[in-house]
Amino acid sequence: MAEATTQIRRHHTWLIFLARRIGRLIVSLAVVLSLSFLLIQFIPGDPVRLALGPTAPASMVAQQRAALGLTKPLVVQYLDYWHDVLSGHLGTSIVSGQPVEQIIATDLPETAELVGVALVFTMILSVSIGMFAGALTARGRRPRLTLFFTSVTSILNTIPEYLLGVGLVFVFAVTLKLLPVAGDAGWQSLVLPALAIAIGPTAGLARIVRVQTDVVLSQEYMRVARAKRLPTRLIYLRHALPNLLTAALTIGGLLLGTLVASSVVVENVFARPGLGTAIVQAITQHDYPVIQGILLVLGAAVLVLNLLVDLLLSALDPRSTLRES
Amino acid sequence: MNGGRLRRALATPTGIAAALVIVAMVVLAIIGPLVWGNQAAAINVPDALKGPSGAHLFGTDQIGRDIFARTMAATRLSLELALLSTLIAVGIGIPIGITQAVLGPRLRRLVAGVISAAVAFPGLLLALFVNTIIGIGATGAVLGIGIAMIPGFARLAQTLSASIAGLDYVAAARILGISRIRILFFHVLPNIAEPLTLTGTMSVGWSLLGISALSFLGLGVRPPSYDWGALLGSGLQYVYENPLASLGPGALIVLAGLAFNLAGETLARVQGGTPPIARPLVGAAGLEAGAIGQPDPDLVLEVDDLTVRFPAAAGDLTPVRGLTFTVRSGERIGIVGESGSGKSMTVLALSQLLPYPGRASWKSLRYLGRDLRSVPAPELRRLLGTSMALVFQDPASSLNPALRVGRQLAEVVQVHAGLRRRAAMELAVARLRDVHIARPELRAQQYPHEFSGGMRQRAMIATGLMGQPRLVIADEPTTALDVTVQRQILLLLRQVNEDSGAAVVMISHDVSVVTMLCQRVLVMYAGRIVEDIGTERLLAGPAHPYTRALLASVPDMSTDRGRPLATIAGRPPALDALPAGCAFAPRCPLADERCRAADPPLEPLDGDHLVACWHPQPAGRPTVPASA
Repeated sequence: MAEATTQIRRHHTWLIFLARRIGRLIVSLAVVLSLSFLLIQFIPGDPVRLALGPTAPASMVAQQRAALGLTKPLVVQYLDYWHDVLSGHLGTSIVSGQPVEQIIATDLPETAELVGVALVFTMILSVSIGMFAGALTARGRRPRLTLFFTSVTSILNTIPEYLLGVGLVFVFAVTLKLLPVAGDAGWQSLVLPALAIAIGPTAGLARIVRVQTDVVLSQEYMRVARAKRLPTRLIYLRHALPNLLTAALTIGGLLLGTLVASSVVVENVFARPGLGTAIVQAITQHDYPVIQGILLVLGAAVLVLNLLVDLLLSALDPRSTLRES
Repeated sequence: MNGGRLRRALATPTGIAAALVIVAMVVLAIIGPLVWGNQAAAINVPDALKGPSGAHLFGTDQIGRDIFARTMAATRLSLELALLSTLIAVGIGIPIGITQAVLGPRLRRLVAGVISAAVAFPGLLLALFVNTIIGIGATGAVLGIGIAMIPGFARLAQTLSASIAGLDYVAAARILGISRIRILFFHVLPNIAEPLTLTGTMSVGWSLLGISALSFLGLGVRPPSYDWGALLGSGLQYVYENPLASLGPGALIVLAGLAFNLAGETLARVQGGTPPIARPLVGAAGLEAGAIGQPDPDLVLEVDDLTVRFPAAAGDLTPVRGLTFTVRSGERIGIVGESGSGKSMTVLALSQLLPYPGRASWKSLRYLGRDLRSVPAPELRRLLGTSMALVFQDPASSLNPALRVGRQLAEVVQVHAGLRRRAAMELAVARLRDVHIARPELRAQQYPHEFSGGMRQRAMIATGLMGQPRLVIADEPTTALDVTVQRQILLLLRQVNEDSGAAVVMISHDVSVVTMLCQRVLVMYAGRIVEDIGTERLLAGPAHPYTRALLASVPDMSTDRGRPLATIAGRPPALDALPAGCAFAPRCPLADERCRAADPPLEPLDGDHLVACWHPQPAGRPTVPASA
């Protein structure tokens, strides 16, 4: 009887948690959508003239202005934008005349692939490296190794992804000639960009995992696991790892947004097709509908990913949901 | 920023390195355009796209300009832009953050919500948004990166001022009717200035990296101006022909970014006052050779001259000093003493679980008749894993929160007895039932946080019963539990002892708990056994003045509640400052010259009753009451 009520109560708190999170997501999405709409309004001067260049005939500019709906009252434009976005229309490129949703549909999978591989690299490398370092340096053992580890990780964490990209290109493509520098040809062309994105977050996360490992290893339940005389492998993998993962995933989830942003830059370093190369090109060409569309998609992606991480965490560690409410 | 702190930061190697690089960068920013400006602008088409040489350290670009000169000359613009955007972020972010401290609760929650949503949003997307509006160029880059950093500063200022606003003196100022604005400027701002300066320093590095990224993408500084990012971008186009054209400016970006970050981190570390890592001494105590003797089959544990040492910079600490005792099969023994007397270290040494950097040494240590040092490691693991059970003080932290309880029991026999998962689970359920946990099938599937404190401790005891226990060591097993549950756990330990014949060693600081369960009691003081006594004699009046004092400090039904509770005057000696003679002498009412000069050995008083005292007391009413 008592157990049944606890079950119901737990279910109930989780639903409240879910509802609150989805509510927050909807508000954030609305803000991002409004900002994306306002982008074109904020531009000083005439955005269409900027996009088409000073030589374009006035009639063409006027026609394009009408096509973008810029002649209508602001409120009507705003409501139209909501309507269009919700029905899947993100406008038309001023430069190519292509629908923006089509451009995004070709480029989004490329970016998603890059971010996905980078995320897998980050999680696997940081948890294994951080845990290994943590086990070696637990309770103040090997102070010199600790110093080395923290210096190297803090340096790697500071170097921005585009410089790591340049460095990787130099080492693997120019000097060793192992992997292709640019383009989109199979998995080989994915390795360097994904590494360039992943190295910084890996270093940062590995530091956190090392400290966390030290904390977990000094917990009483780890002493109990040792008292059971379990093999070392089980002590670390079964007893320590799950307790580390919650902390690693909390920070790793926050990193997802960073990974998305880094992919924008790194795609340009390696001349990979994707949303990043597309938006930079659009900015240089003043192709505002494309910029609006990509910013909207990237922003929404970050928000949705953050929500998914929160939900995953609450499933892994039911106590986190309760703590919040 | 306080001068002393800056000086201390400069005393560290990283601090010196960071300061040197920053000074060099500033000098370079001032003289760069003056020294290299002309050379950087000189076009020499026949010399275009040359590799590195003595004349052109980093080679030349498409129209023959010297890339090294351009890199040096670009220092000024790169740093200027970074400083500018940091100023924008600080100038807008901090006011937003600190006004939080004086806003009403509803407005505060709204602003806090907006800030935390903005912090979770990647800054680069925000920067691209601003950059699109302002247009490509240095202005767009500076504003873009500056605005992107605002949420971070606002959040920092908000957390810092919230912690200040909660302090007593701000509350006092508010009660005195001082206006919110005055509180902000005179109470909040001065106290958070320091951490904000640190972050400001580090932000110069971040914004340098950010603006360089935009320039690199062709969205920041544009020709004819150039910063490091722009040079990196154009150099990358011919990375195969001349890698230095991109690596050169890239290296300077990294160097500058690192220097500002390191400077901030070093200052933060000095501020946080992280203690220097104590260097453990190596080779503290050589293990002495094990004594040869005939094993006694009736003895579960024979300890001869056990010492535990912790190497420390100021000299080793020895929490356990030369312990000798035995535990017979089926016996229930208690170890009592104040905290710090070495009780826990003793059992951790016996179970080979001493925390780093502790080391144990002994003349002889036999468990189940076997010299522990001679048992090969894999066999020792199985021997201890199946026959020695440990129950620790805090059941809340003894069970792994990430694993189901049943699994934590089952793994013992899966590993040591090779049982299949299902058989092991069935055994786990049976053991949970043995320790009187209701609905064990359901409970085995639950996580520790779904158990009550008493149930967790039962589950821990059940874990010990999974093998064939011969010795159950319980370290303060009832301390974290309330009184009724304490009694149940003691009864359970007694039942385990009677049913399985396993010996029980229970540690407690509470004599009354020990006497409820145990037949014999070892009294420890400052790392030594001062009395080894049967429970009956203990209750009749022990021989050692310390044991008497311990006993007298326990209130019972006859205690006069109108008088203050008895305590033992003074404190136990610090481990690094043990007196020359008897360690208890400074607190002992019977102490004389002999006590202060020589440490009494643990010797038989009559039969099994051992005591380490020059003035053992006869049984009977305590003649040496604890001082009130």
